Amino acid sequence: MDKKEVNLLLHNLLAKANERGADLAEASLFRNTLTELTADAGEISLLRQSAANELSLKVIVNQKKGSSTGNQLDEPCIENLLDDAFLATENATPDEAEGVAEHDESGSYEHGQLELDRDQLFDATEHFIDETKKRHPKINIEQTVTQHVHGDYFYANSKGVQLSETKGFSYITAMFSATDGDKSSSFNYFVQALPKGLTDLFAFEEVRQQLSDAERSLDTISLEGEPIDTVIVAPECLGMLLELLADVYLTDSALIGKSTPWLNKIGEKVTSEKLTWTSDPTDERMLLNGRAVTDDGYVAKPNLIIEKGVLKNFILTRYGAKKTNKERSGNAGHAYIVEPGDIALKDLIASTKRGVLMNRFSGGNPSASGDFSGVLKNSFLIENGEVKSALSETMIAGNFSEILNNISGISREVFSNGTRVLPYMRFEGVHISGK
Amino acid sequence: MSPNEEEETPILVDYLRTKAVQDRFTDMTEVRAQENRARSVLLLDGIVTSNTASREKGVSARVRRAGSYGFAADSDYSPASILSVIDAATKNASFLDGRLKKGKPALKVSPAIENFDGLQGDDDGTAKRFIEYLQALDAYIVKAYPDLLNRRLRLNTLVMEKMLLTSEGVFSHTVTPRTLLLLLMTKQDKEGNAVEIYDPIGGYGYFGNHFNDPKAIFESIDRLYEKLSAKAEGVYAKSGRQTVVLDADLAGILAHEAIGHTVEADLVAGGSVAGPNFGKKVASEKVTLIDYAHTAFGERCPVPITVDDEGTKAEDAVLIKDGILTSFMHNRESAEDFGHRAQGNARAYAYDDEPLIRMRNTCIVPGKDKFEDMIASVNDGYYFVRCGNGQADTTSEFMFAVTEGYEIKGGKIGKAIKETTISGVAFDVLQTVDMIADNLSWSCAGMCGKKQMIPVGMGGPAIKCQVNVGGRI
Repeated sequence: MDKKEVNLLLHNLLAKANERGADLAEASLFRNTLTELTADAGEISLLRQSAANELSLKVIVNQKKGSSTGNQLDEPCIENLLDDAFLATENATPDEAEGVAEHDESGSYEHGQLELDRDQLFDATEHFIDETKKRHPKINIEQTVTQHVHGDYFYANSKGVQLSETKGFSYITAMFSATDGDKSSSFNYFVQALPKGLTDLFAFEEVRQQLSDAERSLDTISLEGEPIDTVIVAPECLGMLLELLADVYLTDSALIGKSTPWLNKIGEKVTSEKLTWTSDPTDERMLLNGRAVTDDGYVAKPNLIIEKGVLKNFILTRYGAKKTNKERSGNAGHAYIVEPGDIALKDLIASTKRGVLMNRFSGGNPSASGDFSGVLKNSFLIENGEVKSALSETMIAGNFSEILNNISGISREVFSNGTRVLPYMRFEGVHISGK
Repeated sequence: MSPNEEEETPILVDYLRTKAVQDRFTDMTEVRAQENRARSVLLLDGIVTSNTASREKGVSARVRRAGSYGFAADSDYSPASILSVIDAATKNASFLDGRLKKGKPALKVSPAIENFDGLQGDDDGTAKRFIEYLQALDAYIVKAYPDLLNRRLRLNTLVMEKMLLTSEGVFSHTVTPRTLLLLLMTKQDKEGNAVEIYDPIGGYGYFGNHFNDPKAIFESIDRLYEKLSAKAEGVYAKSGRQTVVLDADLAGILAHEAIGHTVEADLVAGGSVAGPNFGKKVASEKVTLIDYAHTAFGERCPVPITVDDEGTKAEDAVLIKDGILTSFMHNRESAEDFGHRAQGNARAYAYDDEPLIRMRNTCIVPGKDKFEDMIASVNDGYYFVRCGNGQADTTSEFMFAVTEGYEIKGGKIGKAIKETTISGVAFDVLQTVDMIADNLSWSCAGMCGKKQMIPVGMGGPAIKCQVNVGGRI
């Protein structure tokens, strides 16, 4: 189905919804074509291809919402989609916040690497496996998954909004650990975008660092003595913590449920003034999670979340904004950018008397108030400004709001894997303990 | 279901077994037609904020040639599409084999069997029934507990229907439904911080199997509110090594995360510490841990698997017996690589997913001790009741979140604690198990993530052991 046919499909669906009595309706189609190469235990094993559709419909009747989703595009299944959506409205509760996007920015967008380069997938995978064997003979590559995705997103609603986006990207995910006889390190993993033509993953400093760290982690100590309260968080790990934090402090659910401690704090200082944090899926560095169009039918725009410690915006959809009487944000989050600091990473480490370099966090979902706890993985003790032993059986606990108010350093260097652009960040006020 | 859809499944079932399909096979091939049907309603503070129905269906094929696999999937749910995915998967396998030339021999042939399971039930959940049911619960909560900050009630059904045909003559048609109610309540503690607690209820089956009368849930709501109130006055757990009693929910996730993942053969091949420990003592002799296929202690398991997605007849995998590591979990390829037997652990979530080695219903076998005696035996420790997410590691170090727990002081259950996380090295923790209760319960709500999410069953008795606790003091 070409783009014209898809737009016609969505418009016919909206017309039928109107005929059946919908006051408002929105329809979207997400489709992708995936080519994937999997390697298990360091050997390529599977070549997989699939083409998938997801057709979604939301109807609103007397402020009551019903939604349905299906992956078939034929006429009988479209009737079924309509039936399900309208049945769902019959017992729904009226909600004034329900609605659809309303603006005049309709358009069509295209970005990324649209064409599959199958040789690139193979070459990048084989080169990574072969080079790892040569440079790091103790590394066991548990699995690599190398993918090219070509995706289209089409959106239309009864207010006349029509948007579409086509994007393509290639990337590799690798999971690995180090083994030496009976000893095994913790597993670690990376996700790395593959720009056009790139097949050498060892060009990325983070990849080289992670593989070296895995081998260094074969011998570990458990923390002894007094707990430690200083942690330097590596960029990929920081990204994960920001996702957890956003979920409990900034998104629809946290605001509608009034459980976030930042509920009425727009314009107030909520973190250290060192922090400036944006979400921007339109940034050209977002090779994997770049978006031009939001799922609820808007042109994506950058969203400044925190500026020099002051809360500027939440991460709210149209519905969340209406429900809470706050500003809709420009995008759905995730494509995070933190402004670099003024201290080189080596000096950030050198100025740490006793702390931990945290590369991976394995923890529970945080509480509504932002309390978190978990296990440090692939992490190292820092003593007198030097990175020392790898740690095992060491746990970390803290509160997001507290540690964000105790940022004691941000690195000048930033790193990006195609999903976020983040520095290293040092926090005080955590509780790191061993057995 | 539309008239068209009522016709589609029998057409595909019949077509799969025709000569036209079988003549298309050139190598070891699995063909699968699958539909996942889901319904979900969320009530947030009495308002229906999510009210969706979804159907995702398609066909796929996987082909093995000399140890290289090709896979293809299409959402076109039709006989013609079955032939085209077989051709596409064969082409992918041929391309890969041409490039890699592994030259591995054919796998041992799986016995040709016919399998039908779960076809008798009926999906009786509609949006109307879901919403009315949740509204009745919500009305009760609002009246009984007006001091809540917010309340979320979610009702989900997921029905997975699979039809599988293999080139070796296995035919399987199964339907696996699961319905869950999630009650989540939040209130403020005296400092104004939000404190929340939740309880999942339900399991294998449809809406009508679990949720006919809302009044049957009122007692669970009352108990949950009491627990929430206790947690709002809760204390932080002490960090470090502690003696704990893990209730069944946590024993189940321990079995799943701490042991189960480390003995999946793909993780073993990838360097899991379980590899060198095969046949060795890895736990107290009180511990026997089994991944059940479909039936345990005479009852249907939460996620019953009779034939897996490679066509292997499912049987129980005894992972640890009396403390000795006795088995890994395999697919057909890894079973031959290791010289073991495949026992039906290869499963795929959606039609366009390839089968991966997955757990099914993982459980520590009950012992002989009484729960009350276990609590009484702890002078200073914790009783952990409900878990959140968890994660495993190749080192067998595990982590899981504890969302409901209590101090034990002088042999008695005391104050509630705030959220914490526990961890340990599984094979070390299991060596510290010195009491195992004679009860058993299954967690109904497990979902496991490993490239693809998939429903899993986890269960166990209460166990007493030592773990690391991630406290803030």
